[in-house]
Amino acid sequence: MCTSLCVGSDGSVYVGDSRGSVWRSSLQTGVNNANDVINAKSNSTPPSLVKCADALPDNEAVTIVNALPGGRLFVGGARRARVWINELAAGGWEEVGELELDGAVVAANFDASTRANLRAKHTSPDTEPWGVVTTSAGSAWLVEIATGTARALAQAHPLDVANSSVKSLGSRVALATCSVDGTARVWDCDSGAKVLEVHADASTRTRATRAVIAPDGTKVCIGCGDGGVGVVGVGGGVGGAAPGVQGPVRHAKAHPSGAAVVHAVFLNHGPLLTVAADGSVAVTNVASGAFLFIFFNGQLV
Amino acid sequence: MTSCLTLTATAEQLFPGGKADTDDPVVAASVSEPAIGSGEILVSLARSSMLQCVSIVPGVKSELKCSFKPTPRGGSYVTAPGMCAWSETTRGIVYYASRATGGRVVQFDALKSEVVCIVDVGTGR
Repeated sequence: MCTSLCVGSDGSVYVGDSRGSVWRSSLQTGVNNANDVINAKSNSTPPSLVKCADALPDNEAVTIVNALPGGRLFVGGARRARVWINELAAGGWEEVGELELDGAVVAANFDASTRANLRAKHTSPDTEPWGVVTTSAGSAWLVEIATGTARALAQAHPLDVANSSVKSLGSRVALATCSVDGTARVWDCDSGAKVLEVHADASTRTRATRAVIAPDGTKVCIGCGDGGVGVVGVGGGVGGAAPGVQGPVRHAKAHPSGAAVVHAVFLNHGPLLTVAADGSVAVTNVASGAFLFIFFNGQLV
Repeated sequence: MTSCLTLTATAEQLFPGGKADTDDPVVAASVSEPAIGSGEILVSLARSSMLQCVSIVPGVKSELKCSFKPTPRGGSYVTAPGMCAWSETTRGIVYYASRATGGRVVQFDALKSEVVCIVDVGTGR
């Protein structure tokens, strides 16, 4: 059964299953125009998935699969993660390395800008990118993809990390984590120091459900269980100063229905788009806190 | 530095209210790249029972573009209630897996509102 899903930059779909295998389909490759779609529909033979590898041992379910540049795959499981590379010359997949972790992989971030930043800071010029992996044990790890090695960054939360986001923050790299207990924290990946913490308040449902860092690294936006969005400015440590919070947390009611924010993403370095559990979609100008519009069940409101 | 949202919250009610669908909430979402020219953004909303696709042109319009509700099928359930992802090479193609698909992966064309194919991971077909 399908337990994880991602789409690679080449259009291939990678699917992780409950038995530790990763499958690849190039369903998209031949469907680039209307005729191709028709041809695909008229073909009675359904497209098939091709197994890349038994990526994890002992039928360990794949919790995260992430397609990386260079034909690499990051595959996370219950207590480990492995990196695989597609050796085109050999026609198969080879394991690059294995990371022993303290819990299940719940999020893996390999942002392009962050890769460049982290590569410059932590690896030799000829090595491959780093990423940040968070686990169900609440810890965060800096992972070097090329060698399959990991360095513990921080015990980010006492409980599961629900999701995370990584971005360059001035001259540094910041990690935003959000725990299942509703707490959001921001970390300086260079020092492992905590920059920001937003407490959960179970009684008022203002729990953090998503934490994302703005593309320019100047703000952290937090989606909440009550449909709100919190925005806080974060300094990038210019001039050697430690990163820190700038100004108060501004809280905007992005989803008046009160449904929890389940997805948050920045649009082209501009506003923040959030999706709530009730299906409402809001676009918020995080610079001013004003809403551009709200979409709910097919109506512009 | 510690902050608390409840102390700084200034909620502004712009929407008169709506009953959240607690029986079948959105569990995952994916946002496409903006279309060249129009700037249209496609947002897929994955629920356990169905997939919805929303078309948004920021500041101009938004509409429910299409929905896909598979006939509940037997077989294994996915670990997550639902998941979705937009193709990065072909606009309008979204991949969806949920309990309703029995763990199968559905390739759905949101622009044509039709299923392109369904792939069973277990069998590879």
